[in-house]
Amino acid sequence: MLDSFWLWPFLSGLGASILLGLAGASLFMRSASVQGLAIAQGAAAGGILAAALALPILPVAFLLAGGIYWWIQYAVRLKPERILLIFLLGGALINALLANTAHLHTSADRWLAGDIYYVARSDALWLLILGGLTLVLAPLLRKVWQQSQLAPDCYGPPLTVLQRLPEALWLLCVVVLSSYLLGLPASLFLLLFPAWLSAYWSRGLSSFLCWSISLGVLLFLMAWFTALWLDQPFAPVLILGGCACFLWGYAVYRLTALVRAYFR
Amino acid sequence: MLLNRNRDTGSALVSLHQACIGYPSAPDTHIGPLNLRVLPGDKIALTGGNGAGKSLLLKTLSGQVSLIRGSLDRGTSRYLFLAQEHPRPALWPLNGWDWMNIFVGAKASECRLSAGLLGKRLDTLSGGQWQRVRLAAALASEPDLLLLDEPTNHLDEAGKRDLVAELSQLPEACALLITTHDDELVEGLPLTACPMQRLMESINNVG
Repeated sequence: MLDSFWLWPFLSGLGASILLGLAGASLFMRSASVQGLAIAQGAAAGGILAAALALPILPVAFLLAGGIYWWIQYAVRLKPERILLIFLLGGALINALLANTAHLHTSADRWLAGDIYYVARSDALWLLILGGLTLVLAPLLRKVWQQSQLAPDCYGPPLTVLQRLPEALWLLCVVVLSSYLLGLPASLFLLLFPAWLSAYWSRGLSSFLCWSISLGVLLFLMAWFTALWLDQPFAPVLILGGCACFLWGYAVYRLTALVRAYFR
Repeated sequence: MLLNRNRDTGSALVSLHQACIGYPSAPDTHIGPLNLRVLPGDKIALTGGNGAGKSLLLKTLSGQVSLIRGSLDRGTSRYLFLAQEHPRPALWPLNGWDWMNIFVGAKASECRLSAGLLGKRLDTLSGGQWQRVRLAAALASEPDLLLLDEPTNHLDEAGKRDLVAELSQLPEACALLITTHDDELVEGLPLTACPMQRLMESINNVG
């Protein structure tokens, strides 16, 4: 399952799950997870729109997702309910394009269902470059995430848009590239689920980031091998498997608590 | 401190000139014009009834609320503003050390306000414990100008005593601008009480 044919898809998935775990944690800390949903949906809509208009896919996906991110984050600072409306609008645009353009299904499949097993080396390299960039930017990213926790307190002048730009671009790149490589459902799941779950038991920022990344990687590995073994699509296995593991763990936890209370 | 003939020399940490302050959503209900000049080492308690504009003034000085009219000069001073309330998310996986790190980096250490609290998650602290951690971080950062909005909120008697003890050890050059309804705090510290009304009267005094 990991010979040369699988190497690049595997490394891409692994890299995407690490980066999405980190990005998900940063969004969770800012109570901005819905922004991630809207950006990813915007990227998918942009990618499919580009295919419909015979334009380069990734640049258009970046432009649309970036425009949405800028609009909800900086221009009007939309509330979560309204951001969810943008998410729905993106979904509606995708469906309308699919219904009215015959040749879009291959491109749409890539975004909507995921195409992780057929990721090319060139696509994987972009993700590896982004991984390297993350290491270089790590101190700056951490500073921006820490500063985002301060409001309504304030220590010195707030970071300017220019100071926050590298982090915003990093987040945009992670979400768009991961959606392109893993598909929308899988990338959204890895953006939301590991961070949310980690927030319950982490004991500090470093622990939270490490848990979020580790859970993302664990879920990816579980889904990768299970999907190949059962010959099933990756995203449904990831989401169903992840939720099943969570429910099983939660049931065991509750049962243990009940048994302890009974014998106390 | 105030725009006052005797003390208007030296470089101010922050100054307001002919400033009208108010929330952008209700610009017609502004306060002012008022003048204020805070010099290094000033220790001021802003007083006034509810709705007098004390919190609004601190938010304006910290840059969180824009001026409606007039001018604000913050110079290059390092300032820190602690809001009256800091609501915490229900799930917040940061601990006290993380909070301290935001203000003082790796130099973070415990003080009497934060004793025994820094290892705990911020979302598990009580309101008073959370206020202690916020105050400890603010004081540890040693800013040039410390703006504290009702710092005794949620604190019990021991907490207030600890706060007074920590505030009285501030470096001499550090300026303190505080809003409070707590007489004990004003009496326990060498603060100059400054009613909001006086800031507006200073316009006429100085001319």
